[in-house]
Amino acid sequence: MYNTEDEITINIKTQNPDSNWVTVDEHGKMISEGKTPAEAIEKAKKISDNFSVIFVPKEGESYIF
Amino acid sequence: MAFKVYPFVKVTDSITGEVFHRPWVPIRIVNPKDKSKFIQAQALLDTGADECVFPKFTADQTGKDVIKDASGSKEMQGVGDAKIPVWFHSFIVQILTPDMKEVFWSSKEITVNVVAHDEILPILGFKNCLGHFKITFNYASKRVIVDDKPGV
Repeated sequence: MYNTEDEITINIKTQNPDSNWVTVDEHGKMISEGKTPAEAIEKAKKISDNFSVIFVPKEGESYIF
Repeated sequence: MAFKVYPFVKVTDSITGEVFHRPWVPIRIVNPKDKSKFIQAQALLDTGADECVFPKFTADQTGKDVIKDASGSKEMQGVGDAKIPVWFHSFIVQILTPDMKEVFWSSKEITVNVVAHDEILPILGFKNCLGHFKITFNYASKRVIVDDKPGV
């Protein structure tokens, strides 16, 4: 078995259905959202220097990259 | 420890409340000419991708113009008939630990394909990245295991 103590669970739920991108802090907590990554990043930079950008897939959409 | 375990990212649809999960890992994308310029993002481990492909914002956020600062360009083959124009950019790509506090693995300076839009998340492909690892996708436990000393 492996140690799960350092695991962070990231839960994403946007307030705005049009938000396609979010940022989370070092604890996995969502700190901003935006229609574009630039918008989400701009908001995040006002709150924290340490964040991670995440694409938000939409339920009902199928993705192939 | 030679491997890291990444829980799937949990996404709740803002309209329907439907919950679904994605096997992504945290990465840091660094401008090798100025390491103070970097961006962190969740990336897709794409076992079907020959090469890494990043969205436009990764260039923007590391001080590069996706087209003007590119060292070259080409068209990649997408699904079906689609040809995807990409521009070449040098990055250092680092896979972070599951708690996003440390670097688990770092590439050398590598050339990555960047598209001129933000309709995709960063994709890690075989060349320069996934080829270094044994990767296990456990959809039952909703975890990805990345092993950088895979042996057999």
